Amino acid sequence: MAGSGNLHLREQENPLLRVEDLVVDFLSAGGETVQAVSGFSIDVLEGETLGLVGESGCGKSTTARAIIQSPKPTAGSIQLNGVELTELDNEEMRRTRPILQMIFQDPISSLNPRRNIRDVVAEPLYVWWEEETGPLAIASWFEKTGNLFQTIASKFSRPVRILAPLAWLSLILWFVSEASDERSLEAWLSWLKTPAQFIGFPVLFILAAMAAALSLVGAMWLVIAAILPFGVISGKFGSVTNTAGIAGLLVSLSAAVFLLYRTWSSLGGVAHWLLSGILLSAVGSLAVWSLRALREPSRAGSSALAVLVFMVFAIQVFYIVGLDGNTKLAVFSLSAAMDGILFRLIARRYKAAREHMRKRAEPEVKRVLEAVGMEAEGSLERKPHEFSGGQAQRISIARALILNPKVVICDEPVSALDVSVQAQILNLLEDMKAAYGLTLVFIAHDLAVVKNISDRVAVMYLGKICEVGPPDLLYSAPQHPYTRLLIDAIPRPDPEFDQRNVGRIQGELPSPLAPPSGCRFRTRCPNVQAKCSTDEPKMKEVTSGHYVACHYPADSDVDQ
Amino acid sequence: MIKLKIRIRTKEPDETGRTDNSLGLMFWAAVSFLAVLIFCAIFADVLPFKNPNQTFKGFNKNGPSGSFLLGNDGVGRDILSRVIYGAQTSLVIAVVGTCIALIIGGSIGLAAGYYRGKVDRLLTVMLNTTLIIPPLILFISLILFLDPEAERRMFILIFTFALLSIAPIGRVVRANTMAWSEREFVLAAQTIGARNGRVMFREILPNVAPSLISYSLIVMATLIIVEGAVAFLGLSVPSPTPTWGDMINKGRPHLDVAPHITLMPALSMFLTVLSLNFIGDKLQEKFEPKASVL
Amino acid sequence: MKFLKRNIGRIVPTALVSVIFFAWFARPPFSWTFGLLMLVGAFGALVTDARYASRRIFSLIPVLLIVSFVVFSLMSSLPGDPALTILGAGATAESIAQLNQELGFDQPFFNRYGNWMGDVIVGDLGTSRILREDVADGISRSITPTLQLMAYSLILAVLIAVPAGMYSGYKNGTRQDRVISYTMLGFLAIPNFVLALVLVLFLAVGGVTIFGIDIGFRWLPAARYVPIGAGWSDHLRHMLLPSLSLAMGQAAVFMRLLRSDMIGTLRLPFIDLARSKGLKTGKILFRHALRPSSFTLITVMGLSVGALIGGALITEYVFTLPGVGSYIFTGIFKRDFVAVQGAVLVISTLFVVVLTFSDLVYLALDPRLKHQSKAA
Repeated sequence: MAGSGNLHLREQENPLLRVEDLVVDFLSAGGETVQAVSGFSIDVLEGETLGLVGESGCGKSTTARAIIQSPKPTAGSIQLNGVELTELDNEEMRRTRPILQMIFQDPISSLNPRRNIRDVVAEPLYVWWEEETGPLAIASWFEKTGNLFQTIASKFSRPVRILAPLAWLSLILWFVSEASDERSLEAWLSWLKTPAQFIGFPVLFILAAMAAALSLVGAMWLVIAAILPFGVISGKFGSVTNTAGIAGLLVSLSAAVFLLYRTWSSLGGVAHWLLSGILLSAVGSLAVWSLRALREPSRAGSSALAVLVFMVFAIQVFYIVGLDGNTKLAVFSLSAAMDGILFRLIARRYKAAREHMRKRAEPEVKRVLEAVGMEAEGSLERKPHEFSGGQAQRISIARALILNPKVVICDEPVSALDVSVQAQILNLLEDMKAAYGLTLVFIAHDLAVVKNISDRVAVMYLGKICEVGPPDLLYSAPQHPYTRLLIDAIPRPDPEFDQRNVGRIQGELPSPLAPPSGCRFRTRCPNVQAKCSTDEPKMKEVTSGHYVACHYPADSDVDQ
Repeated sequence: MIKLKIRIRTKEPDETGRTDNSLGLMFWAAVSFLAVLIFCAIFADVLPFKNPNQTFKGFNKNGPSGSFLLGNDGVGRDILSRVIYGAQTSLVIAVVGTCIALIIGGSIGLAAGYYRGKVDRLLTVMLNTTLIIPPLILFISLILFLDPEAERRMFILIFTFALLSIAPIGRVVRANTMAWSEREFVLAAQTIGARNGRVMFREILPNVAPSLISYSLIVMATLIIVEGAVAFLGLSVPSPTPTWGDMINKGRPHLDVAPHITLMPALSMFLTVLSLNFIGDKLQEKFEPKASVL
Repeated sequence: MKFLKRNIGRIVPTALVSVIFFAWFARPPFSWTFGLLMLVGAFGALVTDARYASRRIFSLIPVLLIVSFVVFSLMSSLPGDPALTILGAGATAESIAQLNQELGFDQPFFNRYGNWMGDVIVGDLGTSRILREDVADGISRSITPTLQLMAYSLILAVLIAVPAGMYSGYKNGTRQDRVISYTMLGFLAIPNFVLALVLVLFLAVGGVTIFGIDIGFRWLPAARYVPIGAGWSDHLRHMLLPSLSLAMGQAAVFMRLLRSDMIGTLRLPFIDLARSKGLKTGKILFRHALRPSSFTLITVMGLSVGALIGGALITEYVFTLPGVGSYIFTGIFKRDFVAVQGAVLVISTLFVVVLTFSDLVYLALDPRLKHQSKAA
């Protein structure tokens, strides 16, 4: 058996999920390549349950991960509803994910230990709803910080809180009035110089030194550095993440200011104004963006807001730190009050959006939790470790279902559970399948478990396929020696039956680093012949819907 | 009949040899000390401390006395208030430096541990470049590099320390992130369709944070020591601002007749660092008993 | 070849120790000893895992390039006119310009860097006008006390940490363990210069007088340096306090690591086996438990070189030892950029090389460490 061949694929019936010639390589600790899956093909029709069985290490879990492209397989094709998943880029794949969900083996480990159940189950909804609004969790950060600042400020003196808005107003007015004067702009920038210099210093030291030596290049760097992050944030550069965007923006902005100052002296007249214009427009766009975010939370706006707040905050800190003792305290309390007001303003905006989102999510969460048999009221606030394995698995299933997926891959969902609970979960999966119209891929190493739930069973060995067919046929008349041995090994609750008469599988699983030539099962096969070490068997049809990859399947004429 | 005495240990003793679950007397002692110190440092201007720069003639090199609780230094200044104001400098530098290092190092560590592969290699190389140059050398060079006026020195100190702390923090965050990203809930979050940034900050970071906090306390303690060393060499914020290291240095000529001039700031530095180390250690045990302490 | 590979874990330490013995008696120039040690380490590592070892060795080149570039950039960005500093305040503009041209300071950045690197590779670190000698001579003169200080500190630290760690780990949970652990925690908190001063106070200067009671001694000298040539006992007497103050901080770190590893090792089944065979406690601890518990410790020892270098510089300052630290500080205060530049470069190079070298030695001792240090 070495599952090559695609004879068993059912093109004509338009399968919902189609895996063809899947190859997955791993780099092992010693530096060698291990091929966990070698040319595996299978398909699943809509509404079907495919059972995938095999020993540990045969590649079934790897196949599951490969199907959801986490990580991307080395080679092969995976088609979902006609869409070739391997050709999608990261962002497109991400958008496809809601229809393809997964349930994992370890129920407790698959839930974030620090979140409560409500958040865990609602998270898929939040993820997609926050695509437009940006992370609304900012609300609580800003609120807490704002309150903290207000508390600090109020401890000092009441007048401070009244002064604070006036302080903001005067700061803005001062800036606006002074901005037109070149000399004060330079003074402003030199004041910024030192902190900005050091933000950019570690990362850009060499670049800055070179750029300073060649001022024209420095000016170019400035322009690129200022424009690039804005493009990133507005999403025009595809799959760069938000974090990288913000980090890039911070670094580039500080580099920009640094370089600006450096090249200041070497350029005169028009260039002066050009550079200051660019910087002002950069800061200005940030401000405008943030204001827009306040009106209506959005992704880009949130990022711009975060950056702006960070800069304001940092400048304040450095300014205060450089003051001498007595004024320090006074200025500190004043700016604490100012910041408090600013933060609470921001928080209020985001909070409204966040509450709205939570309200939308709650009925969905309750509905899906009840559907999986959990008592919604009592569980919402509890943490994962407070639940038993079976309950945790139900929660996992609820999370997978809340997005209304089409295909759910179950990676050994009951292997870690007690036997009595296993039956409950299996029944639940069947019910959910009927209720949601799901297509399931059920992976397990226990044949008995797979039999009842599957419409079709595929047997894997060492990264290749052995046999595939309807469970009744497979279990009553297994064609492949490996399947036969697996089925015979299922303990039968019959006191008359003597388990010792059943054939045993000899030997250990061969190392995936050096799989046997020809048929991979030949080193443990009771029927092995000469041909098995030279030719790799291909899938051939036994009866309708029942295929096997073996040179000497059970129904052929061979001395056993 | 032989009676056997069997001692059954139901709980393994922790790092300091304790077996109970409470945080312990020493822990709270350390917390109180730090709280008092921080309080005094913040409100130094409004509390009844004497002027740290005022020389009290006739009181030179006096030991602790009624009105000067920690004694007077070589030129007659009150050591107690100088210690408190010195605490301001040390604490500000340590706290702000650590915060900056946390932000930068934390982000780098998260990204390296999460993405792995090429990104990890690149970021680790970046982190290690900062480790290559012996810290003191880097610091000396930077001080010289900007040869600045007094206020700017504070900024240089903060940023140099932040720079030096980025690597250790980054490594710890990276190791933790790598451990947590093996867990299935991370894969689950990706399967749902969350962006990488979201997975890092909403799933992984809350789990990495507790041990990170305790580690950063230890980093803060180290920064206080390094700042003291730098001040001792005369490279920190210049007089008249009092710093612990500088006070220790100025007390050296009088070591035989008036050792308290050196001992008092040394003692306060020692107690502060000890408390921070201790609290950091204890918290680290509570949150992650298997984590190696250093 | 197979024999080599299997026994490399024993060959390398033997070779290292024999090189040190040889150096002790034959007294070749210091760089020869160092070079030999490097060779042994490299050889051992290449035998164990040629690919990884050669990668590490080759990665030294870009690293050293970066280091030299950073050092040079920092130094050349210093404000102040070097020629003006040398000639003094009263110099005329022409003489300043002339001196600048002579010294090559008016050339563009990369030209200067190139020239400097060219000189450095041949061993010429420049000449210090202020001290009126070659920088290379000055450094080789002052590096001996620094290296001696570092070596003695490391030895002392190990001598203190190993018994303390083993005993503390063995007696885990008891009062003795608590006492030792807390003490070591305390030593972690003391900066080495403070410890140095405290030691000086109590052991050299006479200590404090509390309520009329004298606490303290005048045993040891408080400063000055006596080279080995002038007599071993005098030399060691003068080096004891500096080494001790530097060692305690490291000892605390080592001891804690050893202790936690020891606790883990003592729980393993093979210890119970040894005990049930009737072996004495001491023998178990030293012969069987120590080796597996020392892995973390050994890996950290290499990294502690960095801490030692910084600490050594400060300790030299406190005890006025004429080491590289003093050389650098004097250079800074006198604005002797050439000297500082050369010295910083030497120290940094030394640091990087020692790190790599220790990595290679560990690799030879135990290939498993490769994975550990990769993860670390």
